[in-house]
Amino acid sequence: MKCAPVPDKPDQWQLDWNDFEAQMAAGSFQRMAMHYQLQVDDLPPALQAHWRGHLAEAKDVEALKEEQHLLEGERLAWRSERLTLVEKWVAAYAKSGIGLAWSLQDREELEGLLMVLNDRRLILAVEHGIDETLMEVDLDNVAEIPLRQALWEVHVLALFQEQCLAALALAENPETKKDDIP
Amino acid sequence: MDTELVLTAGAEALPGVEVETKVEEAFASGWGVIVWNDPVNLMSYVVHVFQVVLKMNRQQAHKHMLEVHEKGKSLVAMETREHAEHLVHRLQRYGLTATMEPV
Repeated sequence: MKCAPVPDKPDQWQLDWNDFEAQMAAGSFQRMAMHYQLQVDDLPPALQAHWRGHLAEAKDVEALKEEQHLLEGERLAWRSERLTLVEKWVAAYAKSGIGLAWSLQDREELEGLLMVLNDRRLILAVEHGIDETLMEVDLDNVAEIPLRQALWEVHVLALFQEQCLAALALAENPETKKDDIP
Repeated sequence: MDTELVLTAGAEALPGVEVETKVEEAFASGWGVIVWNDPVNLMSYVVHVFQVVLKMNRQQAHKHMLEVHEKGKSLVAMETREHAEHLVHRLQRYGLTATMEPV
């Protein structure tokens, strides 16, 4: 996958995928579209907690009750905003087929892509109990197939994120060499 | 008569003090914004989010990201209660684990 500003349209971003990457991304977006449509109350407790979030550590919660309520409302609203984005991308994929190039209309949509990729990675981690140890494990040593698939998806989506982040860093500072980006 | 005056003054003074305290609290930069380590968020992504949300330069963002990674958390801003809440919302929007606390 390659991510770069569209020539002569610096606010637009083009994503070029090979067939495998496009299928992979579209599959992840489709699963996120389904996930965003589910009622939070119907999700397993760990995912409910993930989506409701928390504003403060336990010792400060009492002082921030009202603010916590506002945060929950905002976090739940992100799901419908992101559903609109992924539905747009899935439709673009269905229309253009594999081996496609997607054009993102502006920087905000690119930030949305980063957030959705991250959502998928975070949700997989919550669902499968992926911790730092599992993030480092050799996938060949993971016997449980659903866990292995989840880890694999988490890592592949990370590569997509890295490509977008490197493109953003280069666009903001053209003097930066790709190797210099931490 | 004297007693009545004292009582009246006292009754008016108490709510005034409360309001003043609340105003002071609202404008005091006494709230810390903390970002916590997690196993999934990429280092480069955390740097990006710090630059976008907290307007840090790349070096500052990288320093705080490393602190999160190595020490488990980093105090990334000291703000008024309202602004700290706003920053926590924006950091969480990107999927970072961020909280606020009085410091």
